[in-house]
Amino acid sequence: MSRFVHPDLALSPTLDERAGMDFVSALRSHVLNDMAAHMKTRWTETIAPKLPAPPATGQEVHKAIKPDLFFRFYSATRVNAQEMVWDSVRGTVERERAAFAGRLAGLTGKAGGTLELDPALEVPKNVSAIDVHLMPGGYANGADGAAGAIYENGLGVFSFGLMGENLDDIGSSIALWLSARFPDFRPQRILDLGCTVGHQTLPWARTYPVAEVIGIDVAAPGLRYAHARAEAQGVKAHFKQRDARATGFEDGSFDLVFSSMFLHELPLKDIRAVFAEAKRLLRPGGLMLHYELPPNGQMDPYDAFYLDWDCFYNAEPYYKGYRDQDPAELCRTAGFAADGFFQAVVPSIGWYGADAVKAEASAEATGIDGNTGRLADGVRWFTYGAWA
Amino acid sequence: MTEPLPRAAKGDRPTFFDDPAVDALVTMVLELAREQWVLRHRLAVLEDYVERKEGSLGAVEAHAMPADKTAALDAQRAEFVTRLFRAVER
Repeated sequence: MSRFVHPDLALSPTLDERAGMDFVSALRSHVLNDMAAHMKTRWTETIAPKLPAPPATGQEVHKAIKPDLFFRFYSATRVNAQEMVWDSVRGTVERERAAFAGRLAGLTGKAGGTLELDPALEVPKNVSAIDVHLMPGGYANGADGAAGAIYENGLGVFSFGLMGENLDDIGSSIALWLSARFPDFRPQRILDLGCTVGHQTLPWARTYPVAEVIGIDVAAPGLRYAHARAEAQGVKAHFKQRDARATGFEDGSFDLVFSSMFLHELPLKDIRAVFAEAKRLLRPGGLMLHYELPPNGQMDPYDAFYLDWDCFYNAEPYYKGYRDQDPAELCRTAGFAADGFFQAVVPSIGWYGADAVKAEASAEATGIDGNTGRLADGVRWFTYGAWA
Repeated sequence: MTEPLPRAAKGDRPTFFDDPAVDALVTMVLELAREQWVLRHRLAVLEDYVERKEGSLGAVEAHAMPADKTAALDAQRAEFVTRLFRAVER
């Protein structure tokens, strides 16, 4: 059975397919932990000392490290591992695809959540024309939920355990942190933007059980899967096919508007539109909150280069453009008051435990470091928000 | 008629070496490595099965490995991956 997937949605890979998935996970762990550490040492001890002046930006680090043989092997291996992630689950999904559509449909009604699709919605080019993170076909491929199964099973292989047993470490860590940091904030209506299969949507329903939780996305396959996944897990949530730039919800109708790993997949003009839409949707006293990669302006040049690798080699064309922005400025431009902005570095609940997350909530905010937003052992999640 | 799930992502593959043949060889080596691992894993499972039960090989597919052997295999796999990169990691 596939790992990190609820039994009601799990696939039945063969023994060889399972071993292949485990190999790819081990390969990724080696690249992102061991090879990454080795590359940083080479940079610090061999490459940087030979430069006429220390690089001031990630771009300058990238230029200086590009000819290095180890960088080339690191990058070539990481690209291949990324391709192998999706390839390792594709065959299983393809084989079980016909029956899988029926399994998804059969889960409706178990928890009372809903699914609303809009075939007339135009899927934006950044989703339809780009296979983001090299996932063949992208989020919107096909009329069934197969792309959702590729994404969830692939994420299980990709994350080598760092996203937790339910692949929801980001949402669980940040929801726990928020509830501990602002115990008087009890949102009644919560919106998750660009939710794909709802991994980081459901922790909000678990943390705030009386709240109405809604996830939106432009891609139908992920929403079909998200609905079935929530129902299978007994969590009531509603999934709707809508565009985060113009959601169609009423003014002032949400207390919390959240997104996770969403903004960096958007062109800058769309990010600004999403922020303006979030501002419109929030009631006074409501909160816009994003989990994202940390901004380049707050990182040392090497760490900035390290994260921006995806922009150049992992089909993430908007990654650096987003990371070059100042989150506080983005919020201010969208009409949020400057004194309502905050940011935090939240320990992974799976890696550090719930007590560490709560301790972070009651302590002076931790600064961004090399582990922040970097998928490797000891990861910490970067989040920021603005009160309406 | 449902189209088969695509195998490759849209767009050009990034390359890192002066000779693109090296990029291709990296892919081949990694695919061989994956296959080598898959076979080795399967062999370990078969050996364990035969050692304990001497039964039909048809039951191998559903056979669950004991935790200590899984842990040993996990460690061997990590070691194997490390060895694969010995030419460039020194």
